[in-house]
Amino acid sequence: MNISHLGKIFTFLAASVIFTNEALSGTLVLATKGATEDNSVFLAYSVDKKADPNLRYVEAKDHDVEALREIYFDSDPKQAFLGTIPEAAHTFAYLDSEYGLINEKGLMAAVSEAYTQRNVKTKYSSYYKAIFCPKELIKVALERCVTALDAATLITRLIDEYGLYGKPVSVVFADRNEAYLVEMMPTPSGRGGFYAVRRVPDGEVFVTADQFRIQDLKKEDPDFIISSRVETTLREAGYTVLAPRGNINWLRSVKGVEKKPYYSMRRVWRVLSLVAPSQELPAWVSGYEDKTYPFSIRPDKPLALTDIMEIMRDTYTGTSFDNATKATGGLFASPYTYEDYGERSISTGKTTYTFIGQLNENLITPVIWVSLGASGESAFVPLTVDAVPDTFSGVSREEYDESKMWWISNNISHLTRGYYSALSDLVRMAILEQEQRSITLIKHSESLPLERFKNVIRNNVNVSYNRTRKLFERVLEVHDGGYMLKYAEGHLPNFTPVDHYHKPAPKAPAEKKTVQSKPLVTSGIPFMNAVSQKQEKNDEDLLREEFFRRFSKDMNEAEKNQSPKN
Amino acid sequence: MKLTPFVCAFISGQIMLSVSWACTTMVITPGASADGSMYITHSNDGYTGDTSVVYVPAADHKKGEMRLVYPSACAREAYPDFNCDYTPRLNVKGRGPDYSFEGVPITDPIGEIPQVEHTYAYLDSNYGIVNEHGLMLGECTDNSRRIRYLRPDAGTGLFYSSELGRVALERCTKAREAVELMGSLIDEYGLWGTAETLLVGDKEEAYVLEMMPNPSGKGGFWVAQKVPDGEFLIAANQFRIRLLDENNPDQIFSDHLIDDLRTIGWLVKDKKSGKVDWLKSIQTIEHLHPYYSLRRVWRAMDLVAPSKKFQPWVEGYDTTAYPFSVKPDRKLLLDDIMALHRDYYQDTEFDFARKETGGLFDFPYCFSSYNKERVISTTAISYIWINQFNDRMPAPVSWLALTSPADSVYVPLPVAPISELYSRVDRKNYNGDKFYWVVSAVGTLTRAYYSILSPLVKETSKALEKKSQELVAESLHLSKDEFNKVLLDNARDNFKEWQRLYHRLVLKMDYDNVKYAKRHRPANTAPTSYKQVN
Repeated sequence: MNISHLGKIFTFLAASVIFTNEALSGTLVLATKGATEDNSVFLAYSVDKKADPNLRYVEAKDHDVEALREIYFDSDPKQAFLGTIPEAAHTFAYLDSEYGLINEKGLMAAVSEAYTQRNVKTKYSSYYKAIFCPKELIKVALERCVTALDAATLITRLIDEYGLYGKPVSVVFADRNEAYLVEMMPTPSGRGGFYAVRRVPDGEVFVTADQFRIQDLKKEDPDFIISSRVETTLREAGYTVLAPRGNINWLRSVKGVEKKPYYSMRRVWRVLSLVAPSQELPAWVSGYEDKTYPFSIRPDKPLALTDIMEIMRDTYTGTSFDNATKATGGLFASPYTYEDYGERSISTGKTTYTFIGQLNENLITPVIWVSLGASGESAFVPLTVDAVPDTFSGVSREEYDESKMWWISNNISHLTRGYYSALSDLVRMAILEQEQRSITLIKHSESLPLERFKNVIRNNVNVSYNRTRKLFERVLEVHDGGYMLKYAEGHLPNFTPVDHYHKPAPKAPAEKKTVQSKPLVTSGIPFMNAVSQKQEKNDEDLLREEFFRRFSKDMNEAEKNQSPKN
Repeated sequence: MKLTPFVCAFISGQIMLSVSWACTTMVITPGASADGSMYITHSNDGYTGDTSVVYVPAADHKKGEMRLVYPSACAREAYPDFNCDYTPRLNVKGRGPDYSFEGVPITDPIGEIPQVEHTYAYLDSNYGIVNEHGLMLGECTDNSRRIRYLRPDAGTGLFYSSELGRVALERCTKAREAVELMGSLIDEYGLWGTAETLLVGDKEEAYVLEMMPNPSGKGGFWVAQKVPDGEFLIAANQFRIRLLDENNPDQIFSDHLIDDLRTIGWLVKDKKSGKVDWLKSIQTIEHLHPYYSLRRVWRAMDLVAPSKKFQPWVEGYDTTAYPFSVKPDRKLLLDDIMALHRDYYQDTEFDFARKETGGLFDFPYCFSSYNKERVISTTAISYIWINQFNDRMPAPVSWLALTSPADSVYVPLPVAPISELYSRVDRKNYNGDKFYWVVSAVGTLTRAYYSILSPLVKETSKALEKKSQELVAESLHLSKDEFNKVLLDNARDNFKEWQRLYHRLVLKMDYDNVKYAKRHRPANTAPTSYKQVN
């Protein structure tokens, strides 16, 4: 360790608390090859927090035999230097964001956070020996691995050897054939780490939403990779909770609670119910450790990319958990809430980005679909593992720049959320249309050589950006200052009518009605979010009636006035 | 029984209910303003309004030339038989480059009148604004129960207030001269459209001119009354002139007016004084519903003269509770006048923000309900101007705000070409180079999250308006041309500042900053335990 490294430790100590306190939060959905229409593997996740909205391309590199890979706090070379590990001879190119996303060989990674009630230190301390945070582990895996199994094996080995710090996290690695879930959290000592690894069976769909999903570590099941070292560490820490057959119950051992009741399990229920409605899974459970929801599920019918997009955009529409139908919906039945009010839906107003990685035998190179901001109002745009287009890089959250997709998407999203029932269908249609265009384009370009395929993708990014700009302009044109704007059905506010010249007699203030949601609405356009009870008559009807009433009265009077008495 | 034309018009007109019919217009006489300026204001309240502000240059004309008179969609509706639509409002020769469009049919005139040798330059919109010599206009549409509306057809008169006002701006420098000209034009050529109010002012005098078409198509009914110096007047879609008195030097009306009213059977006399009651004769009731007009009249008068303790509730449309004009308790600053037009009854029982209408973020407006309170700074406003002129200014100025002024900024405009930012605007086709679209982006976003964003908008407009006022004050010694140039540069700066404001608003919408308005926090339905709740 040299002097400059020491200096960095100093500066980082002050900053570390802020950094590690930042919650990740997001929903992770995996559809395995056998669960999809076109045998694609889809690995999707959203980062539902204030994150850096930039994407970065990290180039492939060759390294000297003796080379060391430096490890910094929070995987940030501007922060403290923590140590080194031997470098690989060659590292693969990959796309990076808040977390590493996907490498050129078709290894994808996705992340969701988790919570624990065990007294492990999630804040980094210099007394720790641990040098790895999940972010860095994912990068190392993308640099070095081709298969999901290799990646899961590598990072658990690194945890064993170098120690893990940071918040509890679930990571899924997927390649063209297989997917592995690694759930991990630090030990109280900072040596090694707790982790559990399980393969997601082919043909099934897996979801995790800020809570660990692995329950009993089944020794008899080859899908589990069980570490005797972790078993020992759990026992030594006094954490071990045994399941009936002598297996360890991982979730209860690490006390993998939810952030708050149903913060995670509602989303798990929703995703599993959307893909396998036949299972009629209940929305209510007994507690965080409830085993009602299976680890993974076989979908009722194979999923398409658009189904995954729809899932990632879900706000519990048509269920009693839809925030749009409650008072949180406001005047225009917005499904988004602020200050974390209401049910935690899959799509949120906090989302920085949502990714859907796609791999299959026909694609010449892996594709990752990226939606910036709230996915409900922002189209998924496909990218390849290649230099990131200008519209998706060089973004600052502190400086508005309309040449960036991030800001244009935000423009649309804020306006749409503000007048949801009036604007959301227009926006959603435009987005779906744009995505359909991208899907068709990829289908028609599958047989192209790699460079030409990448070119097609690059051009499509520009088209998507231009269309998104146009969409913002269109939203402003259509809104037109509120011309013909109507409140959402069921959200019509009470107001004191002025029908007469006399002052209305003071009334006892009416009990403020809470808008209650209707039972499940399963038919109709899936993205019609403003579903609530139908009001008796809408404004326009009232206005029209009033006008006809007045009109006929006027006519009578006009007749009286115009025909002199004879 | 001559009902057919207006029956048809009425039925076709009701589809466009939220069109026009809704303007607020004020006079602040020199003696009522802190700086001794005459101020004439007008807000153009209609969603379909063409938001372009157009400079019409001065022109010399040949002898025998005719001045063509065009229909105006802002009167009520588009007139396809005249190629007359809302946007662009005119496509004609002889009104400067910004009323000339390619790919749009040429507007056909209704008729013509003899032209004069020289016409003055003026700023124009749906209604004329101000001319280079400081003749200033304001306008509101009124609602007569006698006849609601006459289409510009064969047999109706030639003028609607819009073209009538423009002729005055082309030809006159003084308010009285303009009123007399318009009165004589009404007598000679007649009116179509609706009952109308024009406010006409120069730097010393201001008149209210109220007019009503004659269904015969010949002539029309009109009365003008001077606003006494030192007083404030507001008109809000209703006549304000009451008793006619030929001995009143402040009133102007033709000697045949009373006979004409009697002939048509409209004459109504005040029982007490025996004088003709102009408002009741024409029966200018309130548009849409009670207090559509009178609430605004009450509010403005109560704000400028709280000592008078005007009451918001009256006995009927023909109330005498609110005088023609009122002396303000203290002289009004330009800021006060701006605030009057920005008012939405805040801190009164009529404030939408504090009720359910406030939504989650203290929204101070109310959409699409027939019998709601009608605020002054409604969302329907296309633009609003405050014309200002006094002895010290080298040229008149029109402080113009696009859309609802509460969420916009007043920018002082000269009577000079302003096309790059203000003309050739189409509210159905985005164009980021036009001030309107920046204001639209700011306003649309702000109204969605009012309690979060409007403080920043108000703070910014206040700072910009202060700067503009200082600039005007510092530039009084300049020549007219130099003065106008300073104002144009300032308008460009304001445009850029408003763009920056939009960027700041979007930054402010970061999730962590968005908190529900205190009095509108919704019930939080997030589960607090695992127990099933429904």
